Amino acid sequence: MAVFLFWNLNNKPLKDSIVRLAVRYEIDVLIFVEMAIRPEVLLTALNRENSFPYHYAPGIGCEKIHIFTRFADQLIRPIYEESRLTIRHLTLPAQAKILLVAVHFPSKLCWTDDSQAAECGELARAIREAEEQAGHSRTVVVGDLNMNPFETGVVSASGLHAVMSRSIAQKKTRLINDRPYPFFYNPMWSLFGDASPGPPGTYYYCRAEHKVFFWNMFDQVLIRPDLLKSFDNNDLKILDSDGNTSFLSSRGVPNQKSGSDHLPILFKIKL
Amino acid sequence: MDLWPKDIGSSTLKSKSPAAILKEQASVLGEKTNNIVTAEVRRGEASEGKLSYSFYLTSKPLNYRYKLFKIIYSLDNPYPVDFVEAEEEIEKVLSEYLAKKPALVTVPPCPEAKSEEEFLNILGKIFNAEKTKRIVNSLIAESEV
Repeated sequence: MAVFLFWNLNNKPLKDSIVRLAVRYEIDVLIFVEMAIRPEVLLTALNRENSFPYHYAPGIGCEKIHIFTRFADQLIRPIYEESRLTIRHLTLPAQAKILLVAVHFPSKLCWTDDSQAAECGELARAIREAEEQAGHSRTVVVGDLNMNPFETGVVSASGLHAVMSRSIAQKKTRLINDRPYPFFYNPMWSLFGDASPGPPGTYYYCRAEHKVFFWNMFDQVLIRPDLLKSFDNNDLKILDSDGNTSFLSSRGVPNQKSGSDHLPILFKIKL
Repeated sequence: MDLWPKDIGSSTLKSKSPAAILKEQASVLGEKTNNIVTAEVRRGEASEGKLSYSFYLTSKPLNYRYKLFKIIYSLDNPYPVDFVEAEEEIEKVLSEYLAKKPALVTVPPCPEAKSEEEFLNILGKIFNAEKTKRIVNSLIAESEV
């Protein structure tokens, strides 16, 4: 079983929380964006507290996404990158290989909804090419998409084609105009709102305008059908604490003064 | 009866297409690095009447590709060429380069080359950018491990 954590750190000094999370959940792969902490400083802190050493597995061209892993870094090599995207081939000995796609989309401050949707199409193409290159489609996508699960780029067949139902995703592809479009399963739908375990989303935003969701699910995990048997929804969590310090303010929203404006997400894949 | 213009298909066309220039530069990179680092030019999807090509740095020994930028231009008139989806650091270099050009009244929304000469200048800026050099050197170093 491999345990993954993704967190947009909002350039905050969250080293201690990261170390506590790594110990508490025995995380195998830590993925960060907007990380201002120097990698060597975080690595030292992680290895001071953990019996299994972590390695820093930097990208080659992608310098904005940071990965720390308890696996040897050569077992999680990048095969395709852009400035905000790194696709790693996780090749553990005697285990099924998987593709780990870590991404940080531009925010709605910089890009329009249409641009984000168009970029999802580019991302989907890059993933399919990486899958052809790797020879399998056991792919997990994780990152800050800066979009909700219901937005066009995430949902559209020409985008990420990520659906809320496992049984639909298990059909693998859908034909539109005789062209097959592969599915992703998006388990984040099931964590929306306050009737689900944990916080209602991963990012809180409130503005004085008519249409406001308040809680958003910008940080997402998407799973290809070929990997669904290895993924249990019960292992997917939005974390609101490191066990010592809450990530939420007294109002129950991400505490941006002391922490990140995003909450981390934790998930597991059985390899 | 041949109704086609006399100069069609002739070598009277002196300028190379932007895609041809990119492919030429891709092969030059391979020569410079003993094919440890190469570049790939791939045609992509574009709206009607347009052509798009993405330029990737690649390393076969490492089974790795990095998308450096993409260009879009018209099928019937290759210039201006728009540089889109450029690596962020490189986009910044290009924006700074374009902002200094006295002929421009306003900086265009994305870097563009109005002529073959300008296209070559911009490519030179991209290939000489620190980010590009870092990636190429990293790929060379990694392949030696």
